[in-house]
Amino acid sequence: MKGDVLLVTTLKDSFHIIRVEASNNQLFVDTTLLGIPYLTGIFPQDDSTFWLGSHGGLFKLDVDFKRGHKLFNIPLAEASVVIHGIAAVGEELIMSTASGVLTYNINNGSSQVYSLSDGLLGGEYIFRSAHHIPDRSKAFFGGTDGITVISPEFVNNGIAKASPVITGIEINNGEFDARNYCVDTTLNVSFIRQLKVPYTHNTIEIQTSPLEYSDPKSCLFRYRISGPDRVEFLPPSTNSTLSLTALREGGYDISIWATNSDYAWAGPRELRIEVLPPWYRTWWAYVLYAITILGTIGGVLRYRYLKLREVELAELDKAKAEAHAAETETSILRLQMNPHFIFNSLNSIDDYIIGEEPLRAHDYLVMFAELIRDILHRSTQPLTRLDREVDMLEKYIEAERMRVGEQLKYHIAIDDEVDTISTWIPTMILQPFVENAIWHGIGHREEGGTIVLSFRIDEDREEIVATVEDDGVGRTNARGGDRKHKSMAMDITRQRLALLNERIRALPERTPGDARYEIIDLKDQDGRSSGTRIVLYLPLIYPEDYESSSD
Amino acid sequence: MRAVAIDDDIKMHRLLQFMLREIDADLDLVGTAVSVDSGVALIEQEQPDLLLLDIELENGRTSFDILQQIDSGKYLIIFISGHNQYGQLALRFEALDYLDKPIKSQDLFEAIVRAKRRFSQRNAQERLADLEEAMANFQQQKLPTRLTVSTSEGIFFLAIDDILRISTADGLVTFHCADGRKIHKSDRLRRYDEQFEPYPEFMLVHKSNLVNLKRVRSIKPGPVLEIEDGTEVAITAQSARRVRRVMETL
Repeated sequence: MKGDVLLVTTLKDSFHIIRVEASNNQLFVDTTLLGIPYLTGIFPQDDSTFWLGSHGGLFKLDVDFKRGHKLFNIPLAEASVVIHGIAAVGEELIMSTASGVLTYNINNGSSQVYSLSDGLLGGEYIFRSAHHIPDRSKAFFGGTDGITVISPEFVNNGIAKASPVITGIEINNGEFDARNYCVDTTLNVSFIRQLKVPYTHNTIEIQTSPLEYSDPKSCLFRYRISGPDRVEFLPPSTNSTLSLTALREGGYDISIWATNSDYAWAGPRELRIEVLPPWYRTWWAYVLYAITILGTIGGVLRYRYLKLREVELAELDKAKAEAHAAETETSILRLQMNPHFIFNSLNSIDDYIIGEEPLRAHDYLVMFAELIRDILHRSTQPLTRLDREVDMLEKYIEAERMRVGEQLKYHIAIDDEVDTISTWIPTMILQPFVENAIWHGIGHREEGGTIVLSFRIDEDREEIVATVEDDGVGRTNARGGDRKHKSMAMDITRQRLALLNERIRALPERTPGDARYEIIDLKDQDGRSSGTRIVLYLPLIYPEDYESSSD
Repeated sequence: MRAVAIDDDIKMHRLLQFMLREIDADLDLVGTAVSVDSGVALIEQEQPDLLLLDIELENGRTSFDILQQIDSGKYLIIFISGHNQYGQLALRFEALDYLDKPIKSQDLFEAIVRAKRRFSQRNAQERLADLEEAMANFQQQKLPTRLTVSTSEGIFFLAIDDILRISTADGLVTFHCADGRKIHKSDRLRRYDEQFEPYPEFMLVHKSNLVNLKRVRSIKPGPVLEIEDGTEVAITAQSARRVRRVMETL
């Protein structure tokens, strides 16, 4: 129903136009036999304009109850066509037929035929099975092969003609098994879009066929081949088979066109063929080559480097050997105990034996042996833990005491701040000072004297301060002894301190101070000499520092 | 008192005889022997009060072979050992008296005094048990698991693992035990530092503290070691580094 006009038709050729008077709900039947054969569809354009599809073609009906109705037979692109159904998309009337679709533009009267080759279904459309969405954005036609949906794009742009199809592929003149070459899961050659073939399978034959034709012999084919070694257009010919030989590795894009029965070119049907390179030309093979080449170059460079390094190391070894020699020298330096001490000790033992004091001789010998063993053992280590060094000094003083007599007194004072087990000092560094105090300060006095050894820590300067003080005759009054040895012992001490300073300067976190010593001459109230004080400043250093700096 | 000396070095016989006479220890050396068999015979014949035993005798035999053949609990015993031998550790940890060669006369005198005192503190059965324990450790060459501390207050047996730390102050050494006991002894910490050297967990972390690192609860800033019994031991930064290094290997 449209407005107040009702069109009623019977199956054959009777046609009625009925006017409905809405005011009193009366029907005025205006029956006019218009002579339209077998009406199959009506599209009401507005209140008075109707488009009628029929077995006799398309008609336009202008309804005018006053002046009389008018009916026009509309010429279409296909003459004497049987319209199965009619619907509208936009300004276009779409009419289904036995073999396709016709369009008619109600504004400009243009008309077009679409068939199987335009991508439509091949089967016949069902009578009166034509509908459109009220806004005319899509129309639907039922056919024996399915439903055709027609949208405005279809009408406006037309569509490409159906592309030719691939009907067979032969590789190296042999059977083609899609499973071996296809990325897609399809096994039907007509759906294959991409082939992957190994480089040895590079002779490929492609058989094609136009989708729609009445006389295959008269169809024309043309091909475009675009690959790494060629871009080729094969001119139109009746040859439906494309032969590709000696394909190189890489990607080939094949385009195939064919003419349909209407002689219009359709296509292209596209096929991509990837010729896979041999393993030795794959990307990973190239990566492998790169690695091998870089590895070889690297190896050669490394070999050269190692050669150079060997030379360097040899030089380094030489340097190390020199350093070692220096170390050995200092370890000998550490052993530079006054030889007079050793001979005097032996003399004492001898004295005990002659004087028939065998027990004293025995005990002195045991003590002397322990001291010598201790010194020999210690002197191989550049640093000694302070508690052990103090023990050693105590043993040394005890030994001297046995020789000199009880009038030699000593006192060792270690500040509470000093943790003797985690403080290290150069081995035997204090011994020459103590020896000097005994031999030159106290040893020659009848009344003897006292040696005071004291240790404290200077936290700010990160050093241990050791003091050796005697209340002897003082430097100026010192007599006897071996001055030559005395000066040598001091030289050795200076050398050792200089070596220690070199090491400390090489440390990444060096302590602020240098190893050094001061000699202070002590005076009593009357200005007379009353002894000597040696103050030794030793930066805190640990065995691990010593190791790292000597490497 | 009467003593016998058993040593495979005849020079030692003479030296001991000489020293015993000189130090005036009220001890007569009445006989000497060089081997296990002659030693056993000598002891049975002389029935002395004190045995001076060199540990290692000839042919790989030891004084323990002698002790097994006699009524060992009856005698005061002083062991004499060569220097720094691993097996002798057993002796140091037990309630036994020992001397290292070479022997100073003063040390010999002190050892005799100690042996006399210990003899009076323990009965024969206890003395025998002490010897057997020492012998077992000695023969297995394994680290003793307990330490015997002999003080004027008695003899204490401490499981090594239960010693939290050993501290020293004013000439006294104090053993801090896991059960809260504190045992004081007049001694030098240095002696125990040397004695515990084969035990990696015992470390002299400070001049006055030998600590069982297995019993350290934490290293706190300071640095301070917190021991299981809640006490704290201040150490130096360098010592803390050493402690950390050793603790990682325990």
